[in-house]
Amino acid sequence: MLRYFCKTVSAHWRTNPVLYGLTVLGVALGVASVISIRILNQSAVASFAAGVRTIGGAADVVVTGKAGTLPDTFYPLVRGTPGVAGAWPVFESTAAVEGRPDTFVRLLGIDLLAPSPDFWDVLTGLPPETEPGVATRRRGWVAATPELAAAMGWSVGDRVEVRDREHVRTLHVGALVNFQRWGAGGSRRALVMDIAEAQSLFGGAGVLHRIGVEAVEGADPAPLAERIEGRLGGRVDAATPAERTGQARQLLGAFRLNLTALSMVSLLVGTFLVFSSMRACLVWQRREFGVLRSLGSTPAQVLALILGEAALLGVLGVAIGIVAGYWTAVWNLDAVSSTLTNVYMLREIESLEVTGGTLALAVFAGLGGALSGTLLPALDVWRRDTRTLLDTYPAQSAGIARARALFRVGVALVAGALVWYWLAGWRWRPSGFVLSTVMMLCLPLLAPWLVQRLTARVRVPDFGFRYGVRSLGATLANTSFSVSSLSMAVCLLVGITLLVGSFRETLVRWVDRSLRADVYVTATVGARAGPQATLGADLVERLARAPEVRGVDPLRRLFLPVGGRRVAVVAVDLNRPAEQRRLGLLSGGDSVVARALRERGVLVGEPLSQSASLAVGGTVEIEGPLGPVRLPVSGLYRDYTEGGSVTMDLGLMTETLGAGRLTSVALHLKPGADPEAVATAIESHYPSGFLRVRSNRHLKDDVLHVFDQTFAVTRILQVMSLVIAACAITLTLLVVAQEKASEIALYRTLGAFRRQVFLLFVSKGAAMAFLGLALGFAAGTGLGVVLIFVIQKSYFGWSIEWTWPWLSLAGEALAIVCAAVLASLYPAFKASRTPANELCHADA
Amino acid sequence: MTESLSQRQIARDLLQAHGIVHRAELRGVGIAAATVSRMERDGEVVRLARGLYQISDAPLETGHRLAGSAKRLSKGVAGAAAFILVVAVMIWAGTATHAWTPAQPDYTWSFPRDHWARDGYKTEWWYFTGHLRSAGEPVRRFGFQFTFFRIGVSEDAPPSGSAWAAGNIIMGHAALTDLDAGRHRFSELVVRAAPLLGGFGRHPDPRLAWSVGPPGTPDPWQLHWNGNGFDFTMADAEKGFGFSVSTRPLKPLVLQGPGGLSRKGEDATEASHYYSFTRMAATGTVRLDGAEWEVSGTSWMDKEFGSNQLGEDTTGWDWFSLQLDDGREVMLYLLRSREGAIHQAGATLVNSAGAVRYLQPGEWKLNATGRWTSPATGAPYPAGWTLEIPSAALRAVISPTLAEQENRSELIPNLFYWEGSVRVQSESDEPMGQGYVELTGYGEDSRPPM
Repeated sequence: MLRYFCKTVSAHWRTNPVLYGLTVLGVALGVASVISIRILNQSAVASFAAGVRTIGGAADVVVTGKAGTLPDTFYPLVRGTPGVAGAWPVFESTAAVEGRPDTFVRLLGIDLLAPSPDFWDVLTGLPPETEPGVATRRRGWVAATPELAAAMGWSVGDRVEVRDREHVRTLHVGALVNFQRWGAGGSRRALVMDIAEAQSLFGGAGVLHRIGVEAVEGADPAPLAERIEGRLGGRVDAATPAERTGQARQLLGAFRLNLTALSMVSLLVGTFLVFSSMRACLVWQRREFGVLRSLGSTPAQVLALILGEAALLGVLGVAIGIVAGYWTAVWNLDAVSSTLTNVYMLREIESLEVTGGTLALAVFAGLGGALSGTLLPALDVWRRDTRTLLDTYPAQSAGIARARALFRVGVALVAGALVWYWLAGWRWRPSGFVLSTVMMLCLPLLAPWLVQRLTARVRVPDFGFRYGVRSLGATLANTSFSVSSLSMAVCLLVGITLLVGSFRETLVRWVDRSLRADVYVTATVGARAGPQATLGADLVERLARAPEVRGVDPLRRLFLPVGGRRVAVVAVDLNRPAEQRRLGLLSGGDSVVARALRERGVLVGEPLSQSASLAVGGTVEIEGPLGPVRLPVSGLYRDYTEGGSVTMDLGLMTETLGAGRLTSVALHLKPGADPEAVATAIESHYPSGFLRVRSNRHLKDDVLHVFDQTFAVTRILQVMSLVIAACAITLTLLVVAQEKASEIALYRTLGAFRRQVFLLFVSKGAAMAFLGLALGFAAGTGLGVVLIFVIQKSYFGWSIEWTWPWLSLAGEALAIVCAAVLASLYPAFKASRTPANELCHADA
Repeated sequence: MTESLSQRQIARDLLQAHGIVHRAELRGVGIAAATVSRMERDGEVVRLARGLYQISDAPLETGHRLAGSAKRLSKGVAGAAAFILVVAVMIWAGTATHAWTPAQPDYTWSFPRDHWARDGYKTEWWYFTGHLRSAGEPVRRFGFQFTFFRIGVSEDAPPSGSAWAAGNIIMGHAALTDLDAGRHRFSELVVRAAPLLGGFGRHPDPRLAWSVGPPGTPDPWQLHWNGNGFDFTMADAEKGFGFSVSTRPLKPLVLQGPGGLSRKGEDATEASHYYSFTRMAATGTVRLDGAEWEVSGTSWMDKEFGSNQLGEDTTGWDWFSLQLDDGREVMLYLLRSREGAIHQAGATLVNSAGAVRYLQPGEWKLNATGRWTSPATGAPYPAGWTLEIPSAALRAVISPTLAEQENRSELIPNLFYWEGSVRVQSESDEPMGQGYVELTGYGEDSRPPM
């Protein structure tokens, strides 16, 4: 039997490569969609975890300041806390490479004179040809990673100029060191120098960004973190890497969950494709199995043959899927990385991680999908007798009979899910995903009966399009799967389109309301605005005195822990009417702002109010640099930032959280002044990497660009699902062409032209597309409702206004029909080539 | 002469080409050690560390190979310990164009000013050992060691706005031996001498040296001049011990070696300035595993500073400070070469009145009679000696009060040495005194603390 298996597998491939190729493609696409998302998810978390690692190896506890930095006078206190076995201070800065304003490097200042055996290991373990140079305290001595040096064309001994705000600093590349081995933040863009030099050169005297702490051997780091916080009177955050990575996981949780859910849908659609394709293979081999059985093979042997072949196809699909998934992840890396940086303020993903778990998932999903997709048709073959297998006309009646029952089950399932949600489910955060899953799973249950009922109503005046549509009901077992696959893909497509379209429109309105000034000037650190980027008072003064400027709205932003997570605490001059209008208050209007000013209260963004259960009349506790501060919540406003924000008056911030410099200013220009010209003039006046100056229009474009980038990765999943669905149509029509070969031969005998048979199959494909579209559109609308009003609300706290993005939806519908028609061309061609003598074979 | 000049030229070319060159590389091209020494003496080359040379006025970028240098060093000595020295020295090399001040015979002592740190010298240490007894019953007896090292990085802290700017590294070593329970504990720290972490006082500030404690210990380590003697305190929360001791000299200060110049090698610069308080009354408290004892006893103090103490071939030393019951004190040291031979030795005898006599090489004899191998490092240490100084009518048997008194660094790999309390007895086992012995450079890849 094994020999027979080996021979027939290759024979099958040779005789019907399209069918088998599509099956492998189905598995591969399903696997690719799942693992590409998993790779990106894991890499995002791993990238953050790498950032958590500190100098001298992986720290047990990382100490950071409440407001992003901490005074270096805290260092001896941290070091002296009982249970500490070692403590490594880190000063960090970002600088633009002079002449390359878009290229930024991370500068890590560490104590190069501290005994850190790990660091010595790295240096002393270098290959002799590395020639790393001399570690010296000479001004600007840095050690660079070999990757960075290669990318920048640096070598040991080179002088490198970097720009730190308005100053150009000269660095000397003294050594090339693989800091990733050492754990210096795991960054390939790191330049490491002595902490004294780093502080001195980059204007950070007295400031540290973190302290990595090693606990004594065998001690639990969690109590140590508490002791450190206690010793410093709660003025620092001390967290274990697991806690910090957990925070990142939590922060990214919703983002990851959305992507994972989408990838699982793709896998589901992929499984349907495998199901369809394996079914197609079995139809094609049906008579072969009949012959085998008549020659004495047992049903179990035939079953083993079928499953063996499915496993083989699955393995092939997994192999291709892993490669495709990896490259899909690579392709989407920039988009996801930008999202992490821009939306979540995390570090970008520098490398992709493919873990054993990811590979295991690929094998499980691909092989499991192939085998589970094959199991039902295989069992069908297994339980049939030899005569039925040799019969050219497989019975379809059982499938038709079950259609009504399946429909009832589907309806009951949807109704049950809705009732469950209405009664109790709404309290459970992931309930939206349950609803979405039920909605998607119901489609294959609803499809057969709907296909049968809808096609049965079509009148057939001739051997043309409508005949093709009506005949779909006659091959229900096949067509309903294709329609199901397609409707699921359409459902996903429509749901996401509705979400993205509505969200984008809401965002546009919000941005229009929020961004009222003409030019925005923001202090930057590196590639993005960061918590430590501030504007000097003299600069703000100069901007205010510029001849084109009519007024300046100041803004100061801190990132502080509120309700267990670090959020933006923003201070503006609430006395200005412009600021009051800008906020987009959920209720109360100007009176809310007046109350906030009167009662020295704050306004809370909608997402934060939800995640931290903050309501008007309550109080919010902000862990400020000077200690915890409790302030009354005076109002809520619409907010589409990740994690939410708190807004207060500038005076109140100075009073409660300490004085500090502004982080950005909005400039109102005099009538007639050109915002673009003013922005360009300001930017050219100040060095690159110091300020980000954008006109109102430019800033809005940037916001929308970030938004589009955030959802870019969903596009690939949508396309994958669509490709899978199109493949399903091709497979279904191939099956129909095979199953109905004698019927087609009869038509040909009766005088049907090849062209007519061709059009018949194309019309079948188009009909399946329309049916899938109709079903998918209805379900997709439901999915959109769930995504917008349930999932986004519960996970992000964003209020999204419903919008029909008609243009996008119409374009997608057209693309689906075209894809379906294209997918049906090959089967139509095959069917049109059915010879008339096939009728004789069937009757033999 | 011609050959010498030729060797010099070859050496210059090699140094110009590579920036930093190991002695083995110089030897490999036929340059004799004497030529290198002469070049060093003439200021043509600077000796960065043991066996590492750099041309005096070499620009920093001229092919300096830090890792390679450290790697080469690690073959012979401790990689990491060597590295810290290399880093320190090269940092200096990158910023300073002059050499450290070598110990010179014409040094003019000035006390108490010389108890404070002497900038300009590359290394310096304050070293205390002694024996303490608790008051009351039952009596607990302790031996202790307390040392602050200053390792010069540059003559002055660099001009910088950073509180981390440092011109020195501070290394602290302390040990407590519970002589009754037979337990020995060691604690250490290495920090940069920066305002946040530690530093060295300036005369007349009573604080001579101070440092944050080892990680996990909130209390600092401190050494003060109390106007008459020294006060020092240390603690290590993790190791569970600490002590605070106040000392008062019972005998005058002793300059070790003529003029206080202690020769360590054949080269004129291989020397240090060295003085001692050979007998001081000590009182204070000892803390061990949560218990605390009021204690009193005697202590020995050494202060040493220089820039080039150890000769190239010196791999370690045996050092003895003995306080005899008859009121005399003896200091002995033996420097060993790579081959194990004694290439330098010195001895000082202080009589009960405080008069000092520097013993000539043939005037005394020290023989090791026993051996103890550390189970932790495998280092085979001598453990038991006979000492003969016929001119002082002294014949004594010296034996460790506890075999396991090895100090093992956890911060600097391969840094371990034996530093422990010894008893001095007559040949008929009559008690004659007590003392401390330091044995360094024993065992594979062992590196002395300096």
